[in-house]
Amino acid sequence: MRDDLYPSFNPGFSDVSFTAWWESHQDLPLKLPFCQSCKRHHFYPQPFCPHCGSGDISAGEVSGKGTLYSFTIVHRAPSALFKDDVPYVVGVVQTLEGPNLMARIECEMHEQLQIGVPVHFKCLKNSPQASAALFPVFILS
Amino acid sequence: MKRPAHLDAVIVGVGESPLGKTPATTPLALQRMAAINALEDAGLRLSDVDGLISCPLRVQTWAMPCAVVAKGLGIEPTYMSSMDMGGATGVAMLEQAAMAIASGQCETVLCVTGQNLLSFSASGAAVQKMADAGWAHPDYEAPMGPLIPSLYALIAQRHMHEYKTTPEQMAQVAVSIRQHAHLNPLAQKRELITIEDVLNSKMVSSPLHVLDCALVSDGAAAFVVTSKARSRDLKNQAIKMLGHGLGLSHVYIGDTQNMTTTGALTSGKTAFTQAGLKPADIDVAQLYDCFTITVIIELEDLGFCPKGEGGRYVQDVGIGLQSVLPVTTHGGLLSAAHPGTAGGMMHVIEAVRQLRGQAQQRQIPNVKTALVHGNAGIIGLHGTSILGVD
Repeated sequence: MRDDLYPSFNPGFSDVSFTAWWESHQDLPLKLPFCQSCKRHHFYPQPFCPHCGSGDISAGEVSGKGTLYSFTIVHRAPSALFKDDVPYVVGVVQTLEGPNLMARIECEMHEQLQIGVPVHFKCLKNSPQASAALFPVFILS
Repeated sequence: MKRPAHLDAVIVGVGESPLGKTPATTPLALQRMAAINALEDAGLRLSDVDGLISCPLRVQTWAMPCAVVAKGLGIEPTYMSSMDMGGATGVAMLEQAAMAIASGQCETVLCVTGQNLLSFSASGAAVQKMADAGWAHPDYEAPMGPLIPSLYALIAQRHMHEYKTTPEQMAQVAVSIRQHAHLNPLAQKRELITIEDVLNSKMVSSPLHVLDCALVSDGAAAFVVTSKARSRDLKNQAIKMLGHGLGLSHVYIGDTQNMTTTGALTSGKTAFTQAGLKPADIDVAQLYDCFTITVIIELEDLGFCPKGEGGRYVQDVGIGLQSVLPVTTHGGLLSAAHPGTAGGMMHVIEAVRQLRGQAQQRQIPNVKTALVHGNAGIIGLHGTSILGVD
């Protein structure tokens, strides 16, 4: 059996770090998966770096700043669990460090929403779904 | 590029079940109706089928879908495959069936799937079922509550930003495809609509209105692929496969740095190269139309217009039956039916009918080449087939 088929995992990481990133990294500053081999951030969390295939992934601090890559105002809830939230804004944030990530976007008026505007991380919020996963909330800077 | 030998298989039969709302009808019953119609169309019987390709459903969990369907139809094929390529499944089935025949695994392949996506449960259940089906990343997207339309709305918003595409241009896609459905007696929605109707319809997830979105339907679709030799004594004109291509850009929409250029670029290029054709050679294009923006981006990435010009192309050149390239002439997912995977198979069925000259009131004169395009996931996985007749 070839030993080199076993990548070098960061021993501090468990499977849950890849499926519940926000739950595992709730303390500030905001952290995104960071590959120690090619020195790049990525998102979504996964056991191997999507750029170079390395298993040496750690939690890398990021600025929490970025720009709004795209957004949509959701008017119809996907299930009864989201009914109280409607209308809400789901966006994709292009982070300063590189990766895009999906987030809820908060703003005073929907008219302020514009692709390219600066945004920054506000908090993590509990999903109304049964799983109660956390998701990131960004606000207009 | 040398033309792959497996493309010598041909399509000899197509059919569907009743579409739209068909209450109290199980997936297997719908699939049987589609299968029998496709086999009758070919002049074949169930006992002639020795290959079967079928798919997982959304309304029921089936272990080994191909085996469940085979037993449901009372056949024991020597070649079987369960396939899930989302909206690209119809196109991918064609290629897999052709390869199975070329390699001698079987001679006549039935491709069939379908379900009662509209009637299986109370209103709204299908929307929730689809929102939970994994199209949004289960850990990093679904928890914040995007609908499938929201994921496409992100793409539409970005396309509007990059290329000045307008809601009116997107609405024109829905209006033109509804005109085609108006002429299709099987279509679920046949009433003509205007651009104003689309723009005034309920906003689902901005900028997409309800009339920018595919239907939810009951229905099943089937087609039959066989060898050229076997097709010679069958009753309908055999439809040739000239080229196939697949293309993948991403799985989850939050996972791509470029939302507006897709795997259709690769799938189209591969299919055109195999066929030895270029976009201008195509007589009719059955483009996957899960949302209006999807059609606009496919027109660009398949090379029917320059990148970024899809919206203006739809507005100025047009995609109607009289236009230079009629698009999705049966009414598509927007107006004919969208029962899940079977929806993309119906684009194949319509291409076959147009090539045979059997599209009745919506027939385009003198069709020699038809392009079928399937799009899967959140515009990440694409399949293109180019079909033709002599």
